[in-house]
Amino acid sequence: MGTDQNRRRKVGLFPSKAAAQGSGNSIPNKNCCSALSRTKFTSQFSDSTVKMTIYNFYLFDRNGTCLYYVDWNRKKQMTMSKEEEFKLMYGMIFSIKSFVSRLSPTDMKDGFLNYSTSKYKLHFFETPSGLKFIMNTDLSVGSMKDVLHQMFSSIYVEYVVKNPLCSLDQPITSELFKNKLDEFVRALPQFAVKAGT
Amino acid sequence: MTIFSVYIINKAGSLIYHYDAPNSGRPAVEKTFSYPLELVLKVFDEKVTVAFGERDGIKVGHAVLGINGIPAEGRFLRDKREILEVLASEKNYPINIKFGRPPLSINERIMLASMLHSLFAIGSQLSPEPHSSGIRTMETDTFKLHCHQTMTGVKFVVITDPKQGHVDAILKKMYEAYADFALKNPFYSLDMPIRAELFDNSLQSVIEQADKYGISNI
Repeated sequence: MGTDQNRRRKVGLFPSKAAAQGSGNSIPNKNCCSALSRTKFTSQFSDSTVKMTIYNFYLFDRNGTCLYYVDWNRKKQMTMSKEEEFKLMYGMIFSIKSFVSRLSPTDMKDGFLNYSTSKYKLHFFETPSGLKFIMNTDLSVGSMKDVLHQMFSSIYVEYVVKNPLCSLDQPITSELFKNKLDEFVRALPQFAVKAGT
Repeated sequence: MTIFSVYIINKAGSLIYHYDAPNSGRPAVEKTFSYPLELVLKVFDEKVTVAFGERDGIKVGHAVLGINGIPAEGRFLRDKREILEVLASEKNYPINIKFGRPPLSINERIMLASMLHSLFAIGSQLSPEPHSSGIRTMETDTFKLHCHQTMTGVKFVVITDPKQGHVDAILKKMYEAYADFALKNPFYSLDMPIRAELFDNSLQSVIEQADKYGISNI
């Protein structure tokens, strides 16, 4: 976490320096730079208080079955049913993977990592066996690859794979897994409830 | 080189402009083989690709780009011989084959552009928060895609190195170039492919400036 904070601090400093150097630039650019640095600084200072959050988590198997879904601070109520949403999500991830592998200028190792819109950031991690871990977070969250990997190795493997009562191609109903996952996510530094909620 | 390519997609999702950085050439591997070829090759999408037998940097999915220095064109070599037939006959061995990631054809580019257009829409539909935009940036381990949608629905897509920051300024500059040299051109009709030399030049200079002086200074 320490390195993550350092990195963000550097990112926060950079635009302000650029704005200072580029003071002779045309006005719209200068505005753009200073606006950028302002937002970066506010996000830097509010990190410790309230800003970052985790919205929801999806776990898919290699065939596209949604094994597990949970949400925490989700505001928007979906108009579609859960099944439809899972299908849409899996379909999108499937297409993104193929899209990205065609577009890549060189051979890829991990492939797709994350995407962001104006409101959220989607993080993706896939195991060699085709399990897909998908987590939606706030925009200020950095890389979640390690976190998702840890969810796989220390929660999924421990409480689902090693549980003889869980079948691996059916949605997970284990209470123990549910509790451990919830506990793990709530303890993450990225999980801080937004001010309003 | 930090900018790999630029795409402009109109509001209906069709590709109206694309640019590739000249020296972002995809790496190729050349190797000389003796008769029983241990790689399994298959024709996929009119290209001869490796289906099995990764070795020495040749990966599954790589296409045959040339044989003995003769470049490949689809399933055939430039001298009209079929690649699989050449590789099947023993008298052609030892043979030098060049493998690499197949270059994107224009049809594939058009398809990828419309694919991005729909992914963009689905991205906003699946948002956990209300009033989300579509996909703005997409990160992978080899590149980062930045997308800027204008008020009129035109998308500017830039593919850069994953470490490249502040691409927003470049996207804005490209939008300016589009407004100045495509839209103000009396011979340009809206939503059609952009063929204007002035636009080419100004886009080129935006990219060159970004590469030369760093993104934050343009």
